Amino acid sequence: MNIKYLTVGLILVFFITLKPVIGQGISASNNAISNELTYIHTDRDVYIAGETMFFKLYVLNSLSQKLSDKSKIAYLLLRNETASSILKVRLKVKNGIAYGSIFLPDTLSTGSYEIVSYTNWMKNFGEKTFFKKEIIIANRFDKELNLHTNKNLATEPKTTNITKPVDIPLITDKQTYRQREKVSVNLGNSITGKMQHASLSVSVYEETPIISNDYTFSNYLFLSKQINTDNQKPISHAYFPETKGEILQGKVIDSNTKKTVADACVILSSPDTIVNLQYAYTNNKGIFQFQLNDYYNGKELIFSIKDAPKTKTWKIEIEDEFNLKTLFKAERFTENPELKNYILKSQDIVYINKTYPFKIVEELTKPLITNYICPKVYNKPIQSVYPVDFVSLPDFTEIAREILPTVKVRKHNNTYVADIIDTENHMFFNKNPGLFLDGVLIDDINQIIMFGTDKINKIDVLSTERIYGDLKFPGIIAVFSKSMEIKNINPNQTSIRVMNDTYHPYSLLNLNENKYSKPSLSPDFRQLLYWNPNFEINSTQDPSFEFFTSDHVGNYIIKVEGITPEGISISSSAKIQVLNHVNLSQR
Amino acid sequence: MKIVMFLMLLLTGNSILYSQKSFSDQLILDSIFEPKLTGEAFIAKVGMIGRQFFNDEWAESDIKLTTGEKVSNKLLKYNGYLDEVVWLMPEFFKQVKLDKFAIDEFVFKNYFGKSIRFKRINIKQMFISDSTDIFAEVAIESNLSLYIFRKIRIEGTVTKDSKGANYSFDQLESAPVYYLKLRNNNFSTLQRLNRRALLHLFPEQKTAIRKLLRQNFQRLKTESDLVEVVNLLNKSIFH
Repeated sequence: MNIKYLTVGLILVFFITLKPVIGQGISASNNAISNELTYIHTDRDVYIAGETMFFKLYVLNSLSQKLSDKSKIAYLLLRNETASSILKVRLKVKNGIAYGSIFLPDTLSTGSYEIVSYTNWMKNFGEKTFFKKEIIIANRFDKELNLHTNKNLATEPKTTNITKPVDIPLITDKQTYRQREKVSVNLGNSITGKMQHASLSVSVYEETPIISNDYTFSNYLFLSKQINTDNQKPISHAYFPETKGEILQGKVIDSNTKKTVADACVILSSPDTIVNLQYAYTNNKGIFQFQLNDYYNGKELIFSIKDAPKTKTWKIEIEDEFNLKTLFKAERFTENPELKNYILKSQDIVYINKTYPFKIVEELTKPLITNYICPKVYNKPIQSVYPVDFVSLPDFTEIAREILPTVKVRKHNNTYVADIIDTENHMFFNKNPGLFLDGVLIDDINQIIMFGTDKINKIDVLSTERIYGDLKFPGIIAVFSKSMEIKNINPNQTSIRVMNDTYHPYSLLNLNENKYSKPSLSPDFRQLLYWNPNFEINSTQDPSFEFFTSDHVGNYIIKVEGITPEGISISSSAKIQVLNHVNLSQR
Repeated sequence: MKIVMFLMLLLTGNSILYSQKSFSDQLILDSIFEPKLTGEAFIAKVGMIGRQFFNDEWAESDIKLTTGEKVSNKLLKYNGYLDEVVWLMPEFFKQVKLDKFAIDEFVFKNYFGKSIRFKRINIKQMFISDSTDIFAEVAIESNLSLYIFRKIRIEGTVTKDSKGANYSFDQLESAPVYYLKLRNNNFSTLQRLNRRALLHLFPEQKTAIRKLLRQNFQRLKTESDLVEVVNLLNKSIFH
């Protein structure tokens, strides 16, 4: 009897546990192919060239719409209809969030621009899944202001009337303020009651005519959910999520046949005082990939093909991570006299602000470099020689003869070859050793044969058969020059050089409150009164913030965007008015 | 009863299925961009009698590099005579002596049914003026830690006759050295496996330790006795 009950019980438990496991299995497998989505909250929608655009970038899982912990790198670019990319930014993403600022060069022409953001993983799902936002940038000296916009469109077509943003009350202490007066904003008790934690970005800027405030995070997520099913089908599997660092991808192509080359060994080194190397083999489509940690941040990358046949014309092509296939077509903004007047006024304000400059951007010193690992080929050399310790020698042949006892350099068929004595077997390897100049693998000693002691700082020799992964070097000679001679040498006939840009720094709007709390001789006509991309809500902290109005009167929008750990988006806005003393007393 | 057993088996299967899926993505990525091992070609020394290696068979192992990166499922042997880790490159059947300074730890995942962890520690050896880095087996890691240096040394030479000629061979013997590490990160060498040697290392706690060992009837004659003693000391004195 007991066994019968136990059996029935176990059957029940089995089916109860089976359902969530199957559910989790599907969700887990979906998670493996689920897309990400990005959203950018900018401080404003209209800028004058020469101003700084502040932004906060959110990376979310497109299914759960929670902050994504998958991608650690995001890409942001600014383009217009004529240029594929005007500004390119690589951002380090921490727990699905990144923020910073971009200086908009004075030379930008007036017109509609598009901000595009994405992650490497999102490339698998096509460019239609990338976040795109249209903004206006006007040149400071352009009074004609031909915005080149689609004149047939009456209003913003994409987001209006899709859904109302999540209603979170923004309670200001007043509705109307004087110039240079303190404004206190509270996010209301309801938000803290409902949410334990949320990551928000807050912007207070002068209201722009005809531009609706419906372009919000909540609307974007709502829209994303509608087209979610289409965007969950990857159209490619070529891109990995950048979970530990940037993944750089390229192809090896035979220049003559234009066909891709499989199983080619591509080597990556960076000029340094440490011998460093990474390698990858091309797949059947000729594609290779490297995961770059912070060691490569801001460094020159040198790619070469190891043992490329001399008779072939193989070449390396590195994929530009900012290259988009689809073009930008402006359609958000319309020609409007009110907008034109607003821009003309903003041009004058920027002119005044440039005359009385103060530090707008505060760069954060938070270290972005957290994963600095140099891929060393060896840890300790068997022999390190500093030629300066010896008598001056004219070339490398003499140096090898006089001060490198295990190295032999000889002339063979009018070219020089190097050989190393294997200290284990006490005989020459009779193969070319691994030869490095300034940390980079080069394939011919003839390139450094004229280097005398005046050019060389240090020589490391390893006179045993060295193994690096599955590469074998019959000994290693590493030459470190005094003035980075690798810059003047082509390491290999297939070598190409790529500059790896540094990660964009995190930055904030400089809010020096004391400057605005009391009258100052210098004018203050800021149209952006407050920007905080790092506004956190938690159960203990009062969700409020303060800022000061400027000398510029007008209507200002307080816009709050953000997300909770549960994936609930927050979009809210409120309006305040700044009047001068005369207007205020008349009221 | 058979049905009960079958259902219990299915239930176990469910939980395994659940736990395995979530890590698969990262594992694939880690294996594609796995850090490279560095070292030099290795040929084992001949003309010796006895075991040079701690493990005679290649053991599937994980390695933690000094960079913090991890390398998984490599075939390793620990050479106690040279105090070096040797890696078998399966593609070329080549043996590689790995760079000691690139390795922090390595774990034999299944050494006679248990996992054994070796860690690179910096100690001052007898008769050597400078401190050196050695690989030592981690027996206990707590307030009082026990590391065992699986040293193999030449105990003498043996002459053997082969086809009328005499050949001299080095006789290898296992000579483990026991290191105790206190909270202040200082290593002390336990010269012999006996109570007196242990009490000599802890003059301040001498009485307490003697009392504790007596109360627990704890002997200190073998390696397993030492492990029990260190566990006992962690529970009662160094907690």
